[in-house]
Amino acid sequence: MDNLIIPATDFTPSVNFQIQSGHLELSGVSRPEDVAGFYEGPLEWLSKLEESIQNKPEYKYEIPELRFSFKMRYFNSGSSKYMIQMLRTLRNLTKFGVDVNIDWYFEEGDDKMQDDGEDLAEAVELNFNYIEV
Amino acid sequence: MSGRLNSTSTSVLHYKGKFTFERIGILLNDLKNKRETYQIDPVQYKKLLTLMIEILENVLKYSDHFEVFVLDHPDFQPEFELILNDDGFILTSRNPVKERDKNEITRRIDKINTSDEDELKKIYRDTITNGIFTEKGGAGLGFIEMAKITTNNIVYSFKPIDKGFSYFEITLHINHLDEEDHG
Repeated sequence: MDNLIIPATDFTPSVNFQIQSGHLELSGVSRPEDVAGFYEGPLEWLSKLEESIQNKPEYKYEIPELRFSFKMRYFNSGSSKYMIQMLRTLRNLTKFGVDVNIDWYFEEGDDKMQDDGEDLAEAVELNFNYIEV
Repeated sequence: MSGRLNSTSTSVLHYKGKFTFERIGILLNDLKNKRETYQIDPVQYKKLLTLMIEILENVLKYSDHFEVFVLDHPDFQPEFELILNDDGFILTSRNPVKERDKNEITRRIDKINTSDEDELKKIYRDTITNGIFTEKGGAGLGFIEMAKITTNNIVYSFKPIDKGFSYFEITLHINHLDEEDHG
């Protein structure tokens, strides 16, 4: 699998999915004009990863740990639907024995961003690590 | 347009006309530029920004009514206003919606307005997990976000126009921060 790198714009987050290190990161602002179009790439990448591990279980040993860092400054409600889809795929990976860690960053005093993380974590039934920066 | 309405109420932002993705960007930038003038606290600014995005994107969902209806009914153009008063900020949007959308909007907002914080979290989880998302929207997630941020009811009304359209108005109140909330 290739890495997935999408630079940030004023309206879309940067995507940096590194397959070798297992470090995946989404950061910045997310209120794309075409939200479905923007998240198509990251969702496809994650589905491909899930498919690879499903079809070839030993592939998981090539990924020591999957760490997804959400470093969002803001995301609109339209984006959250796609974020939950990404999280669902990550949750599915745990069923194949992949060690998945979700780091949810929020700026000091940004209670709303922390709450948003907690709501998503509850909705998808995954534990997040909350990191105040 | 901005200016003092009376001794305790100031129009911070006002726009009436066609809503586009670019127009939302301009209005958000206007808010950024007015942060200093109105000494908006960083925590309050972030809340206002989020509310503005949700309320403006909600108007944008109905922008296809502009050519088919609004051009013939200029009194009912989409509109947004942000007002500052002694209690906090008031965000108001107005836009034509079709009668057939009215019941669903009413159902969603009424459900939110009659829910406490825990119930709101449950509605959010249920909506994001099982919600029926259409091309137009996020199954009501925007309204949930508005209620979560303001912690006040979403005030709304529909004023019948004609040709199966109503003028839909949403008003959000966000109180000034308590001392301990300042960023």
